[in-house]
Amino acid sequence: MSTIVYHRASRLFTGLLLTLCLSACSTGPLVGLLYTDVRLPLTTDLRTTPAPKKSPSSDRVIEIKEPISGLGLYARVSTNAIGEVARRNGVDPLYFADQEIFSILGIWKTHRVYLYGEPIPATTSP
Amino acid sequence: MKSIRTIMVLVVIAGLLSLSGCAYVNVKSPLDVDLDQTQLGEKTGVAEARSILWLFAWGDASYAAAAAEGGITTMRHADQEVFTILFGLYTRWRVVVYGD
Repeated sequence: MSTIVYHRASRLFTGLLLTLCLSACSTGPLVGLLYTDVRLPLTTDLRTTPAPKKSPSSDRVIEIKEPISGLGLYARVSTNAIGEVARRNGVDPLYFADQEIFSILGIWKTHRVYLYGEPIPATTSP
Repeated sequence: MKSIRTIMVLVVIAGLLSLSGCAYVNVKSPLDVDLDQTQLGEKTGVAEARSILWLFAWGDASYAAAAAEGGITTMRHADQEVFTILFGLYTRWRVVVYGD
C-alpha cells in the first residue's frame, strides 16, 4: 500500500516539477531561481534618444528593495514614479530607463531603475 | 487512480498547448513600439543576458550596454532576439539597438 502511495506521490511531484520548469518558457526571457543579476531595458519608446557615455549617478537610480520576499512588500515601477523621482532629483528631460534585477534564491531581491536624462539647468536669478 | 491520471493528462495537455514552441525558440521581434518615420541609422549595437537551468541568470542587456557596444550616441530603434532551447534550459536574450 505504501509503495503505491509513494509511486503516486512521486509521479505527482515529477509532474509538478515538470510544469514548473515548463512555465519558465512563458513567464519571461530570463529565469534564475537561485541567482539573477541582469540588466534589461525598461522603456520601449526610443526615438532619436541620446545614448549615455557612462552610467547615471546614484541620484538617478530608483531602488525598489525587497529584502524579505513573501510579505507582499513589492512596489511596481510606474511611469508616474519615474517622473516623480526624476523631477525630485533634477533630471529633465528623461531619455530612457533601464532596469537591474538582482536576486538570490528569491529571498533577497533588489530592483533598480536607471534613469538616463539631462540635469535641469540651475536657474540664475536676474 | 483514474482521477490522478486525468489530472496529469490535463496538466500535460495544458502545458503543451500554452508552451508550444518552447523546445526550440529562435525569434526576433520588435522591442521598440513607436515606429513613426523611424530612421534606423547606420550603427547597430547588441547586448545580451543569459540564463541556464532556470537557476542562474546574468548579463547586461540594457539599452546603455547595447549603445556602448555599437558606439551609438543616438538610439533610434530596438529589436529583441530570444534564443531558447529545451524549455528554457538555456536562454539568451539580446537587445539590438539601431542608431547613429
